[in-house]
Amino acid sequence: MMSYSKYFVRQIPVIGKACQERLKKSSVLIAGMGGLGSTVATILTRNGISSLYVVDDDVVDETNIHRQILYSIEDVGKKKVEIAKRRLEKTGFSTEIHPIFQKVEKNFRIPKVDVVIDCLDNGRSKTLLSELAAKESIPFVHAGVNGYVGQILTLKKKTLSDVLSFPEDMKETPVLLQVISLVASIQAMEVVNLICEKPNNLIGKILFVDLLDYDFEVVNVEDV
Amino acid sequence: MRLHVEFYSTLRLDLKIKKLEYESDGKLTVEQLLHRLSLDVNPAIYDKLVKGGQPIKGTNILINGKSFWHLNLLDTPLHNGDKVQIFPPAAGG
Repeated sequence: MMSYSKYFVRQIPVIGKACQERLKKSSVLIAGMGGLGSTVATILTRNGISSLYVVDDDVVDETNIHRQILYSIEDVGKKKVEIAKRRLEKTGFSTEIHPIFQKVEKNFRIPKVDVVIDCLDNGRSKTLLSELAAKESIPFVHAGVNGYVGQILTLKKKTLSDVLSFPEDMKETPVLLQVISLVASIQAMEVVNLICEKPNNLIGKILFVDLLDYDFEVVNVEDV
Repeated sequence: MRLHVEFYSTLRLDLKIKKLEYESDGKLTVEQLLHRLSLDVNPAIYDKLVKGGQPIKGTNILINGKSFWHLNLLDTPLHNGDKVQIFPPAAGG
């Protein structure tokens, strides 16, 4: 078995040795293990993050498989967080995966983590999670997708309701894996940038992604 | 008065408009701007964002980076050179 650093010989020239060392000691919480969460968890595990808390109160459904990359048809009916733990651990990097089979509600306790990652699928829960993260002064990386579009925003002090009003919850938001993968990749990049204190980040900036017209634009938000 | 108006997310795709410069002879509030945009640019604009005289939940209008929900909502006055960015955020995951 290779030592930890040997696994990342191709990655270290990109992010730097010091950053890789930080990832080795970092811990994150991913709320929502659907499309975004599956992809973010996969990327961060393979980046070498030390521990992931994965939160979801749902089981795998056959309509999830086209976009939720951690699950297969054989997993239908099983708890997402348990399957995610099994699949992520198979990467073999000794990442600690902590499954939390729970809905994010007012009494949800955020464990001691470096970043909270919003991969939830409705505005109400996203807003609530941002409030819980702000209470613990933990950076919050929000993302949302809808059809061809999505957005990513990082908050350090404020909550989502300081910046965004979400529409009434859509039961079945239209979604496409290409958009999910792109938005989740940007979220994962943002998490690494925050942990490693890189100068480029999305604190106080909404990055809008549009894969219909191949448009990517940043909008600055005040006081966040 | 000249305003920089920008649309994002699904609103941009629906209206097929990204950005425009809007000129007005007099002062405008946010609501007046939305009315004018419906007349001059695309008739769908106002009804997509306002219902019964109130902004629809999910309507986001940033004026120079500040959410109108924390200003004066539709009565927020606009000034020459203001950047007005309008979008519904995506909430799927």
